[in-house]
Order: sequence, then C-alpha cells, then structure tokens
Amino acid sequence: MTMRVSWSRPGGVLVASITGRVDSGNSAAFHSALEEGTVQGDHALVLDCRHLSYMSSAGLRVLLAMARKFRNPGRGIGICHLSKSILSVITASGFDRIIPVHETRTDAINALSGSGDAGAADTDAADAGAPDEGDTTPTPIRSAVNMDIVGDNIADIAAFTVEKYEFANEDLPPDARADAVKAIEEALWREVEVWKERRKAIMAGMFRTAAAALERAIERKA
Amino acid sequence: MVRPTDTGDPEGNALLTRIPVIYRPGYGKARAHDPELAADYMRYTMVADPLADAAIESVAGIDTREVTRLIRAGMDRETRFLTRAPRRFREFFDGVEVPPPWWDSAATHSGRKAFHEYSDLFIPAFFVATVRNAATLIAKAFHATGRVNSRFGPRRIRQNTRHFIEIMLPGALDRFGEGWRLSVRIRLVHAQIRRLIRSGKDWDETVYGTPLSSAHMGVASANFSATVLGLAARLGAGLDRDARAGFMQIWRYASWLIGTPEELLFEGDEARTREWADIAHICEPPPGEESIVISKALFDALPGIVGQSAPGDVRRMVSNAHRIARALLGHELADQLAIPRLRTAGLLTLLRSRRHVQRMAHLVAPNVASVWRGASFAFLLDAAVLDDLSYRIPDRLRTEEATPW
Repeated sequence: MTMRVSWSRPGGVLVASITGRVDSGNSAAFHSALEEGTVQGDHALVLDCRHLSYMSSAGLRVLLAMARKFRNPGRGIGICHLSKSILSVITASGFDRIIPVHETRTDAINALSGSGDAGAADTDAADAGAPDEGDTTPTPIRSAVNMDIVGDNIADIAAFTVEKYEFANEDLPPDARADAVKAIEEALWREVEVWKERRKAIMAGMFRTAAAALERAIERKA
Repeated sequence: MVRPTDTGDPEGNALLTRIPVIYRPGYGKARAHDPELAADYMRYTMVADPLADAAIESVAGIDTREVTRLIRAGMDRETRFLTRAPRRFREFFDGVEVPPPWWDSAATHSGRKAFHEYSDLFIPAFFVATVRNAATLIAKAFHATGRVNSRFGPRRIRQNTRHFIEIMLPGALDRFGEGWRLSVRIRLVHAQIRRLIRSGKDWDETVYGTPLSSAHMGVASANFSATVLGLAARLGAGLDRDARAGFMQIWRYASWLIGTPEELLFEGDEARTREWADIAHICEPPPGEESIVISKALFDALPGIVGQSAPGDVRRMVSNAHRIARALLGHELADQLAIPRLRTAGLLTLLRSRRHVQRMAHLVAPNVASVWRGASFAFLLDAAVLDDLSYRIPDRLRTEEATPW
C-alpha cells in the first residue's frame, strides 16, 4: 500500500502532507517519516490529510504519538482537510481534543502560529517588514505569495520530475522514489528560503524607501 | 449420557438422535423456548466453513512461509502471485472479494459514530461479551490451542480489541481496509485450527460437534453485535435506532467475512439476533473447566493491557471487572465461570448515573466532556497496540509448540 509524506514550511510552520493509505503495513514507515521530518527546533506541526484516502488504528496511534510529542508547552499540533467520515469519528471520539482539527491548512497554520486571521504568509511578511526598532505593532502587510500554493506546487514539481525520469528510464523502487521526492522537495524549499530572504530584504528596502519619502515630504512642508 | 426424550415433536426428536451428544440436554431445554431456533443452532454445530476449510486444506502440504506469502497475496489481490496458489485457495479469495448485495457502508455511519461516542462503555461491554462467548464449547477449541492462558491471554485480548476498533473506523471494511483483512485472517486461522484439531485424536465430533463450528461463529457474532448493544445500553450508552441498526450492519458484514453463514446473521435484526444468542446459550452445555480457565485468563490480562502493575491497582481493577461482569452476566453464569462472588447491588444504576452526569456535563461544558472521550479513545488505541498485522497461521495446534504467529 502506498503512502507518502511530503514536507513544506509555509509561514515557518512545518506541514506534513500525507498522501495515500496508512495502515499497519506502513505505519512504522509513516511514524519514521514524521519523526525524521521534525527536528528539535520545530514548535508546531500541521498534518494535512487532503490526499489521505484511509487510515487504520495503526495510523491513528502514530498521530497520537506525534500529538504527545508536540504536547509540551510552547509546542502545538493540528490536523486539517480530514474527510467527512474520518472527521466524524475524530470528533465523536474526542480525538480532536488531542489533535485539534482545522478545516484548511491555512486555518491550522494560523492557529499554530498564533497569527489569528492575518494568515500565515502574512505573518511572514510582517516579520520581514518590521520597520523600526521600538515599533511594537506589526504592520499588516498583505502577502504577495501564498505559501500554501507554493507548497502544493513544490509537491507537484517533485512528483512530475520523478515521473518524467521514470517515463524515460524505469520505475524507481518505492523507497528510492520516496527518497527522490523528498530530496527534490528539500532542494526546492531551500531555494524558497533563499527567495524569502531576498523578499525580506526587498520588503525592508520598501519600508526604508517609505520612511525616506516621508522624511522628504515633511522636509518639503517645513 | 442423556437419552433422547420424546417431546411429541417428531422432527425435533429425530434431530436429537443426530446432534452431538454433549448438546442433547441443552437442546431439550431450548426446544421448549423456541424449537425452530434451537433446531437451527443444533444443525450448525455440525457445520464447519467449507470454503475456508477447502482453501486451508489445499495449502496443507506447502511450506508455512509460502502459505503466509500466498495469504498476503490474496489480501493484497496480487493476481500474478496468486496464480501459483491452488485453485481452492484462489476460490476462497474470490468468494470474499465481492461484498454481499446488502452491504452498504454508508448506512453504518451512525453505528460507527455511536461506538466512538461511547467507546468507554462499548469496550467493557465487548469484554463481557467475550467472557460470555467463553462460556460456550468454543472455549474447548481455543483451550486446545493453549492460546488463551495467562501467557497468551493479553495478546488475544489485544487482537480482539484491535479487530473491534478497526471495524469501527471509516473504510475499514472496504476491500484492503484493515478491518476487512483482520476479519478474513480470523476466518483462515479458525480453519487452520479446525484442521489441526481434526488431525489429532482428542476431539470426538460425535460428542462435541464440529470444532469452531458455524454455530459458534454465529453465537460469537450475535454476542459481539446484539449482546454488546444491550450491555452497552445497560452501562449507560444512549443509542438511537439508527445507531443500533448501523452497529448491527457493521457486525453483519464483519461476521460474514469471518465465515458466519448468512442465515445466522438474521439480516442484522437486533432482536432476532439476541434471541438466537439466548437460545444458543441454552443449547450449550454448562461451562466446563476450559471455559473457567479462559475466563480467568481474560480477567487476569486486563491490568497488563491498561498498564497497571502496582499490586493494589491490579487487585482493584480485576475486582471491579469481576463485579461489572457479574452484574451484566447474572449470578448463574458468573458462578459457572467461577467469577468471584462480589456484591453487585446498585452497581449498574451507579454506572448509568455516572454516565448521566457525564452527559449533563457535555451539555454544560462540551469541551470537558470531549476531553474525557479523547482520553478514552487514546487509551483504546494503546490497548489494541500490536506489532504488526501478521498473515501467519499456526503450524501446530499448541501455541507454545508452534512457530510464533
């Protein structure tokens, strides 16, 4: 049975997108994938189940283990895009008190990053654009880029690249395929990090330009 | 030995001469309650599972590892690999591949939801139903395997609990779902145990009937469905008609997969199924030594499963389980199973009141109530934890002599 976990970090919150089926046959691999994908410094984890087709009790036990791991103060976990039938069981059983359930990935990220309705990507932008020391109110800047979509695109690019390779050559064994997808996604996310740094610099530059323009305008008035 | 008695029912009298000897006194009593159901039960004490038995017989001479591989191929529908399997083995998987026309997964939603809402009541009910099953002659077959004793008891309870939890999850009974796999696996294991028992000399079918007979599959199915519903309600579960019907349908299909004949599933009718279970228990001989051993092993395994090891806690927990089981099973059966005589007066009322308080709390503070339920569900997942889903079947009757399975 196939199962895949792909990673992204929109708005600085780690998101694991689960694809396929999780049962006792691959729950150990699923657990390892989640453990390996999270590092000591990660304070929050979102499990995106949009492409999850089935989860047995073995998979739920893995989620329980991750919930316990992320239960410490200052850490958090959330789950989103659950199918109607799974959602019904999760809420009826009270499992949603162990892992909070969110409708969308953005909702989950917002809840975990504590950024309210501003949106995870907005938090990113606000952090990038903090204009002056001593200014404690973040400026609400609308994001020009939806990191949620970037994450999906990266997953698609990775899958497409591997499929293209397999079309020209031969099918990779499942492990090698999963490793390849992971490696591609990591490379692309590194590129996104570089790009985000550039964006931060641009945003900071815009705030500096704005401040200078303001100064000039005031000088002219004076 | 009991002689057939003339009750003025020629057909019943004729059957009385053919049924396994040990059932004759019980059948005599059961006929007075419901002659038709009693006769049905008796007939099925002499029926095995032709489809699964033929499959297991067809791979009897094949290396155990290869058999495990073939079972896995059947479960995973690896068509290419399955062509290596004997025809009757393939026919078995063909037979379970397509669900019966009455199976409607969507119609089970309410039952599944109710189970999760009241899992803290369903699980004790399920445990007590397991003890009730142990009161039948099925205990003799399981005892022969040595798998239900203090050493293997905890694993067996975990396996049962896991199956119960699994079939209550969405998609579990779809083809490739874990509930589907576990149910089919149980059927093959039963067929193999039956084969091993029959190949020995200790089981006389004219006395005891078919080992792990269809009658026993039927009574187990009835206990895990209708009896569990009744017990959970007595513990305080408030279940509406849809929830009960959904729960019955889940067990109807799971039981069909396990090999219970369709006629013994009563179209998932709860009342009829409960009647069948009651008649079955009247037909059965009084619980013997094997039933007592298995019942004790089930109770003794509980503390280990919930992670209690302090002697005081263990004693308290087993004692509470004895009290609840006695209250639910009644003193007569509890005495027969050597469940200690403890006071039960007012116990069920107390448990129901506690549940009532929790329901009230749910109305006042739903978050607090769902925290309780969440903790209970987490506990269930822990209780059902097992290393993997093995497709091995026993290669020896006695578990301690068999390759681990």
